[in-house]
Amino acid sequence: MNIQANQNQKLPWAKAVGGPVFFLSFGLIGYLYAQLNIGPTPPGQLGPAFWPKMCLLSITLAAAFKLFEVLKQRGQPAKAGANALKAMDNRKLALMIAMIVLVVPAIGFLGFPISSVSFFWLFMRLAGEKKRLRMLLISVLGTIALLYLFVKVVYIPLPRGDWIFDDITLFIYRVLFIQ
Amino acid sequence: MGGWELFFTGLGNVLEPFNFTMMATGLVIGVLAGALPGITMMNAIVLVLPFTYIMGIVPSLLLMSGIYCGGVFGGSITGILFNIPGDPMNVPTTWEGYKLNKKGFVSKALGMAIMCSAIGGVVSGVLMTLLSPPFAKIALSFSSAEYFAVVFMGMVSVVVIESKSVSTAFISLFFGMLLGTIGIDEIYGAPRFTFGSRLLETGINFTIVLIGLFAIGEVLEQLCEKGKTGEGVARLRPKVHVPSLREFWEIKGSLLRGLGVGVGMGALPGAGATVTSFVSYGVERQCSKQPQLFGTGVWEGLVASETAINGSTGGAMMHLFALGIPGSGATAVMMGAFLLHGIQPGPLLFTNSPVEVYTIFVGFILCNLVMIPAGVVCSKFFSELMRVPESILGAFIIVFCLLGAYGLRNDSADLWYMALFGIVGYFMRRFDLPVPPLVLGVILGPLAERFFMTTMIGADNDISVFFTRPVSGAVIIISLALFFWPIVKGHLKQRRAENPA
Amino acid sequence: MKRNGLNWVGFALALTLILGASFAFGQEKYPSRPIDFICTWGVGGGSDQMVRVLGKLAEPFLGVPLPVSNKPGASGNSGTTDLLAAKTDGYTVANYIADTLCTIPSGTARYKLDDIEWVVRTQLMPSFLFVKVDGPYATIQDLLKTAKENPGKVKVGGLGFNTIDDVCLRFLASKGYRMTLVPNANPGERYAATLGGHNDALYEQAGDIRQYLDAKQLKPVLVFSEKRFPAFPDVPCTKELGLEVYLPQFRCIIAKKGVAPERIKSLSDAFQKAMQTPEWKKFNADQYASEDSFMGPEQFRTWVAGEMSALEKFMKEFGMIK
Repeated sequence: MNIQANQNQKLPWAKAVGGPVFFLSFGLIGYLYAQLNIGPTPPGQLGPAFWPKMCLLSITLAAAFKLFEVLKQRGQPAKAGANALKAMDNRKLALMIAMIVLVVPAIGFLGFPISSVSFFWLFMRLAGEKKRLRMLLISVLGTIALLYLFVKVVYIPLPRGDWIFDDITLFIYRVLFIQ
Repeated sequence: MGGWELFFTGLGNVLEPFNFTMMATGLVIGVLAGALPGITMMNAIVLVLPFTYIMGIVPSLLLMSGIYCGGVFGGSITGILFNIPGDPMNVPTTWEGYKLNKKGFVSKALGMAIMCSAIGGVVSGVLMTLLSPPFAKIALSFSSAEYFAVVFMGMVSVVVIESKSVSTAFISLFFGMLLGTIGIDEIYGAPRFTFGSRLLETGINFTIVLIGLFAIGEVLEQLCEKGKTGEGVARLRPKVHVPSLREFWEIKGSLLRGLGVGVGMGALPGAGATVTSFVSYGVERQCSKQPQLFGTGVWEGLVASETAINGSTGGAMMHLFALGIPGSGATAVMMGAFLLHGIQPGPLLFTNSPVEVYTIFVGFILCNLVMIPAGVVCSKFFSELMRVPESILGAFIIVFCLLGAYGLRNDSADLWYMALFGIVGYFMRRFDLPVPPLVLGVILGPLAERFFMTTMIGADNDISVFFTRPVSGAVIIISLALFFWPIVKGHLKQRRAENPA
Repeated sequence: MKRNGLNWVGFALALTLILGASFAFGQEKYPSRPIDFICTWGVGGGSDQMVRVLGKLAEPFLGVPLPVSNKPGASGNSGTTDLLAAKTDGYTVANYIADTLCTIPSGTARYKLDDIEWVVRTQLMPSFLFVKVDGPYATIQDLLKTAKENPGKVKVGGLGFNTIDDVCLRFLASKGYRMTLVPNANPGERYAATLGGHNDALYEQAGDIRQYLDAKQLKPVLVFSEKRFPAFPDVPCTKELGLEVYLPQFRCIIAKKGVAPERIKSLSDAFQKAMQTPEWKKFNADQYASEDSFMGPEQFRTWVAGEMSALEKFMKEFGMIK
């Protein structure tokens, strides 16, 4: 984000134009895609492509208007304090995002209980928690509590995982008297 | 039996200790379910279904009414405390409530939210008791054109609310509506933007967009701030401060406007509490003397939207009772529960089961009163969570979001969406793109499309039908007025300044 | 570091234990744990009620609970896809209805008829055309006459295009009675449109609109069936009008293809017993389902195949598919 901030100072105009141009082209390309791929339209009716095309056209128009606004204000000094962003720890951020993305396939493959314990542990570690015993207790007990709440009480069959992990999850459920 | 006799029989039923306990239990369950991101009112009602089989009809119905009333309020608690609305309708409350929290008014914000919800709920409950039977006839005269007009009004309000840039708000809104079209189209059964993938075919559920954009974005922003160690200083333990009469007097205008919008829009079918909440907030902003302060923590916004949400609940229940037509997901579940108990909501309900109906009516009004202590207790419970270190709380919020996303439809595709929208939400904050229009677009887009297409097919593609039908025409004109009012007002001011005559 | 080492030893131990135990559990009698019951439609609807009532009634006969999870979306195909992705151990079953069957010939389903084990048919309910009691149309002849004289003037509320509703209306159109289908996937709005006189008629099964029938707000004028429906003896059926289109709604229980036959038999026996209980009989009657709704696996498979080929034939004829 630091690099981004520097660029902002150097090229405020490019950034201001970039957004509208992106949405303008997105709208146009999307419109073309919808026109060609969604259908068929029955005679005398608006058809399935009408609504998405309307949305895309509106995006294009709104983006064009925004672009016009930005160009009109060109040269005028940017409002101070408009981008008062907090400084972020980028490494931590990237790792957390990666964790949130990776836990999804993990839940599908390892099943919820195992993934959840590992996620709790790693995420708290990453967030700066240092007491190991506390982390272990929270990961395990938290997962057990969630398992009871979701599987036993609300009857949501959480993913049990693939391959041998399905059996392992079932075994965990049995040990905990969940199923 | 006459109306009053039925009313007192109902009151007697509600005040029976067991029934009353069930109602209070329902309230607490509802508030908790509404407040936890990822657990919805629907989950809660489904959860108690098996228990209701054992109980009689009256306590079961009271239990469910309790969950409904509590669930509508619950999302505001986590909104005010953590900037995570439990439901789309709590988004306006969250804007003002969280900012007020940051300014140090957390106790009063919680107290105000509870009281306003209760007042809105009681008023709409009383109106429901008086108006339900004649209401059925009027409600049937509304067609899909009117439904569309109401949704249109909701969309206009969210654009109005976004003060920074109208064009950015439009981009965000239409982008949300576009996301709402992904999947198998429900009118023609045609796949749209699915690119042959099963993950995309199921479509995008708005709750996931909401939780992802708000909750995960918030957690990332809080935890990744530079210099955070994560040990977390134990924050103050907030209390709940119930506002005094004088404090109420100061906000009476917002309270009344919120009530008006809530009750009025509750009577119209359409998107229910979510639209109502946004419209009341938009109206309040346009009426305010300092609209530029909205979004920085002003009481008017919180009061109006919170009153309006519960003010619309009576209307939703009227649709369910008098017509047998559920207006929202939660009322649909309640209808299913009624049916399983052998009670058929609909035109004959008042003749076939008058005692049950009036019991629910009375129960509904009392629910909103009991909500004051129940809300205070639950708010205190959640306030305790503010003292949990952020690293632990953050991990729990994310796992809860994932579980909730999965639980909505038991679909692993939703887990991917949750992760995706969490990250998108974070970057939208960084790039200053407004999040609420996107969320509302995802919610209202599919409704707007259904109402629009149905109307057009019924009217041989004649678009003038939206303006020639009186109610729909009126609502659309009010929406347009809401949108253009600031421009007109600014123009008038300028002219007055130019010609000081 | 030392602690880490210990952790690993512990983990390995636990893993061995779990694996050993899970193999020990491998050979077992069926069913020995809860059977996941997927409802392919949303909470509160007709399918949901059926699944919850039947699940509860079948529990004593199977000896294990059948927790219901709703998985709505894509005309019931989201849930079906999930069922087909589950193991073939018989611990996952789902419900299935005619509207979902329609997606196989129309091409949106990702599976074939043979990927499914058809366990039991639980409900068979013919569809009707309903009109408002105090509306302009009193009989089916009135409706057909208007449709013939003013093609497209009669508006009929239905689920959506390319569904069974659409097929039935196109069939009527092919006989010279052209009506306009006004699609609305939300049942409440669909009913309200006819009740409020915004649509002229409604295509639906009688059980779903029972409250309006009891309140004398809607009445049936036509049943899509080979014979009249016992509860409405005065309502003509399509066959007697020379319109040979039936396509009844049905609800059933399915499993994934490849589940051991004896397990399918345990399931179908349990459901059959559940369907002989008075609670079920009452539920079925309340829903206006036929008395001969039950059908066991072998018979049912052939019947479904017949329904699907009828649908396919109509859809080809009306140019809905190639």
